[in-house]
Amino acid sequence: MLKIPQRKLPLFTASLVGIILIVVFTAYQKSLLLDMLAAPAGLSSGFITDARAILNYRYFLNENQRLEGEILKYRKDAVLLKELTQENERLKQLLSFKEQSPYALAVARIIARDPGNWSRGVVINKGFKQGIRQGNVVITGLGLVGRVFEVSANTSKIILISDMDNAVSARVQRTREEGMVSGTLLGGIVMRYLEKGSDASAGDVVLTSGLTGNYPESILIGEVREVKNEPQGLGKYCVIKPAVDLGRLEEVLVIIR
Amino acid sequence: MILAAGWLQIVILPSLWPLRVKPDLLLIVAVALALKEGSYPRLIVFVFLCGLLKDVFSMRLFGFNALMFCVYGSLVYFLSRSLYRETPWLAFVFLSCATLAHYSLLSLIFFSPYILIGLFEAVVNCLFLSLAGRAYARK
Repeated sequence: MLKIPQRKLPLFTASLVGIILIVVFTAYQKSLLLDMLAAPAGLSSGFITDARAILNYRYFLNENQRLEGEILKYRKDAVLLKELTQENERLKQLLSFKEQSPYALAVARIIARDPGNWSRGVVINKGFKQGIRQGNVVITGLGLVGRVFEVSANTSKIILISDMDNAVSARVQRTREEGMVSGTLLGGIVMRYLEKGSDASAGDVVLTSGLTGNYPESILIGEVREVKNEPQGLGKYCVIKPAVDLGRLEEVLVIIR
Repeated sequence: MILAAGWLQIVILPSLWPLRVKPDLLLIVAVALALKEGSYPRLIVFVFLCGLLKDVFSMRLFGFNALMFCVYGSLVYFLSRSLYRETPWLAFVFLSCATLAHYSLLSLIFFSPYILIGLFEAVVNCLFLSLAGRAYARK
């Protein structure tokens, strides 16, 4: 049994009471104490974290590089997915048009463009082995593109309607006026040989007329953008906005029958 | 280099170039080769290949580019030898003249004002040549 000497008993009792009082006091002030101790605790834990990071930097560096590689791969996959989705949409539209069309159509992809600046043409990946023949008309779901100019076994050259030497007999749908659509020097499209009293106006739809037999009738060419007088003053011509964006062609339909 | 220039001009540039008039990379390569190449027979083979590559994908006049590139290459080769070749603007002069001559002939053959396109293309070719030359010098 613990024996406390009698002369030390008051000191012991006072110490005990003091400790109890301190504990009770700190119980009420613990949040203040916590705040006071949090700052140095934070500093020291930050120091420990930094020290650990320094010791493990090689691990973190490798992990960072690995994760960066994964992010890059996912980004590439995302771009590819978007591209495939857009291609899928385009091909669905082409297929839908092909199924509804009265013509026998062959789908072809553009693989190259005319390298010069004075003629407008593209090369497609289908040729006479796939049923393409010289003179076949080329369209998309939106309208007229051109016609087949040259055919080889597995490729064909298409001359676009924006080429200066490609003329398409055309008609303004609203007024039934006949004219000739051809390309301009910088790749635009105009409809010439309209009469001086032509009633054509901006917004009128222009279709193929089928008069020369090179192109079937009623294929959409574009829309009149503006009507101007011929320089010689003998008639009028109109600037046409083509229905098909000839600069962004990716797939086309060739009318094989 | 010829194949790379051809691939860029025929496949890549039409999609990316913002202007209506594209630079003629194969002509630029042909003129550059004529200025740099030491052996005439080898030069003729290279410039012929440049022109032929362009002809394969052109709509009309197959062989015109091959023939004319040989003519331009020969003229540039012999003329540059009687001039101080290190003159920096010599390449631009030859390139512009070749471009304008090309489109002048096309205008004569087809009775169309293709020379106007030639003027724009001469400017674009020179611009591209200077950019390519700077990129090459930096490398």
